[in-house]
Amino acid sequence: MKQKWMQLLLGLSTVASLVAPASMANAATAPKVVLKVLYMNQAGYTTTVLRQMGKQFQKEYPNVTIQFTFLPYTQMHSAVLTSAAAPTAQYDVVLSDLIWTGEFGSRGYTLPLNSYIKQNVKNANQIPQSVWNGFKVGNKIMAMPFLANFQNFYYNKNLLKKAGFNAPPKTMTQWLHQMKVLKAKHIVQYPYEDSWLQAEGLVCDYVRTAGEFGNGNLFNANGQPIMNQGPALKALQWMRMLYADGLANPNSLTADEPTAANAFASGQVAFNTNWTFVTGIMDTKSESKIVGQGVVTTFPVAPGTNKATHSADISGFQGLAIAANTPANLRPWAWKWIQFATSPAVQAQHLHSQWPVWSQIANSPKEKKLNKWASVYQQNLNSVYNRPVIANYLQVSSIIQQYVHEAIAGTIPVKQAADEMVQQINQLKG
Amino acid sequence: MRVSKLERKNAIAGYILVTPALLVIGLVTIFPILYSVWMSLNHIQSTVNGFQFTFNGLTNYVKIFNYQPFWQALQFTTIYAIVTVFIELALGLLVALALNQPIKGRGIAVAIMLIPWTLITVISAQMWHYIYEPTFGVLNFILMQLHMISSPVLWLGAPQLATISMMVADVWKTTPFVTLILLSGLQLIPADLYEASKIDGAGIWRSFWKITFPLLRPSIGLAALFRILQAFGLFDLPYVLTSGGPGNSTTPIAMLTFQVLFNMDKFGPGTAMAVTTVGIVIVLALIFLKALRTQVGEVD
Repeated sequence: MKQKWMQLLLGLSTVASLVAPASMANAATAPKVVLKVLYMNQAGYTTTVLRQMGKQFQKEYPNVTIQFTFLPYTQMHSAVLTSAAAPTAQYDVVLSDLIWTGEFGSRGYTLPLNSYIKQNVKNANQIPQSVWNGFKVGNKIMAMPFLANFQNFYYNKNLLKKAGFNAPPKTMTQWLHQMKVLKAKHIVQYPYEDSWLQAEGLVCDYVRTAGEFGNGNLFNANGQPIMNQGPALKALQWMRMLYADGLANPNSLTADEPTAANAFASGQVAFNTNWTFVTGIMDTKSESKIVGQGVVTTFPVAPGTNKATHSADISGFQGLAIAANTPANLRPWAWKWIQFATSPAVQAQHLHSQWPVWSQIANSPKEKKLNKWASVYQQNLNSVYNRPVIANYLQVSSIIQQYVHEAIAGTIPVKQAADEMVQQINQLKG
Repeated sequence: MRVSKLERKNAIAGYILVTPALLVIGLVTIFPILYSVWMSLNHIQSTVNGFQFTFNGLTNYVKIFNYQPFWQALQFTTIYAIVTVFIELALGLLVALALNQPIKGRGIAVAIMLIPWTLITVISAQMWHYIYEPTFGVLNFILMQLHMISSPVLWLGAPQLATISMMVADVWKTTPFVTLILLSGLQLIPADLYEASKIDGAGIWRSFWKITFPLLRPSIGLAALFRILQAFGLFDLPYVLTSGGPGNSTTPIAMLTFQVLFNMDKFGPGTAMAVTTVGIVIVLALIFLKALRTQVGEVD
């Protein structure tokens, strides 16, 4: 009962904080404003969802017109970059993918939001620290968290049962054992499929696997690349071993995330490590042959890893940022839109679309009713590692993609690939 | 020679009429090229106040000539262009010769043949991506049904295989274009030449080498020129099909230029790469045009 009252109060306070400035905006003196918003064409928060949010916002602020531009992910970065270099911003509010944070922050393409957040976001601690960290460059917060995507460990309980296992693996050793038994008993030809296509998704899987071996940081505290030692090297050896021993489907080398998800949903493989969208696919009759068999759980980890959550994960967060060349008179309105779209009240309306960034919404009865895996999601979200927040991330990423891919395929020995990765990344600094 | 008043008036009117077109061409074609050349001679920093230029001479060119992926991409593009253009010309010639015969339903055959060419490259690339998909792809399915392979082949998973797979997709899409050019060339060859050679006792093979091929050389040259120039702009097919991988094995020069410009934010070296590619293309075009002129002269 007490919890319900708390939620009601929290909801009312959020709505009040959104309505208060609205009444100011409704005043006859409010200037006509056109906000240009750049967002991505994607699942989850789709263009329809964003337009709905836009309409809601315009009801609160009739003087503001939001002009959306939706682009595919591959065009987003260059669009932000060219807009940033233009004399006036082509976009006032831009989607900021976590991997661009370092670049945007260090080159000043977007504005730090610290003062806005400090003044207007009263319950900032309700967003997990791991999410905030993805958008920080030093002490500067470069974007307001909007979307919390992360991976889950998916397994097929029927296939595991056939192999004699009643529970998913909790450690890497157990996982390896289960895969070997599944293969030896010919229950599946390949127990596991992942998305190891030479693309950004491969870096995500690499970071997550390093995390499962103890630490998903590819750079040390001094900013030195450390792919040729410790967990990162173990991760590379593990990925190569799965491929060489026929435990991972060789198709993984050319598979993107939807392809790997399809392999799992068709019942061809027993394990898949993938983004949250697989949860929906595996129990949808039209898309899955394993309805009711797929289970979402935490990631197996090496002993002693992440004692708080006993999992390790990779983040795919997105935030909303204000372009640095947005005219000064538009910035407060740009922030108002960001505050509105990222608010708990608005996110609570779209739980079908996306896992919320706010803990109180993620833990709400509504979310738990909608998503039976909510507690696992929360645990995995609390275990995420972020990809390196560095200014030249895209360059670094393309080197990582190339050498990890070659190491898995076996065209270069693992240690040599790791050493060359480190060497080439070091050369970028020179 | 004196120019009359009327002629001068006409000339002025002519200049006035072409000025808008020249201005448009200058703005959308010549200015960007000249601006790119200027950019390639500068160190460019993207800031919130716009691009900041610092003149650095040929430094960007030195940088890209010392950049190993540039040579790798250039080598890949050249080999890719030569192999695909050669196969497309050979196949295109065969199809054009077949379609040049007075057979029933020729119009329908030409229309069907043109379908791959009419598809947008991104769409045909995505279609080939599905065909090559190891688990659910139709190619592996057919080959396994025919017992030609025992396990799925990763068509895009190894450098050489990925290159060949990409070439197949390119040949499939572009051969109709080459066929069309060659077919139009074939139809320009007077029929009485073949009749005369027949009377002289020449067989099909001899007629081909003595009449068809020499007279078709300008069309072959033109098709080769178009295709090689297009091949140097190769971007969308590898972008969709392989993302330039595995490794950098299928990264063409245009894609590398894009990566350097927009992923690495290195605008100076990126534009230097673009300008170098334009230079190569211009030289190739001039060589081909000269060769074409010579051939036409020989025929004349």
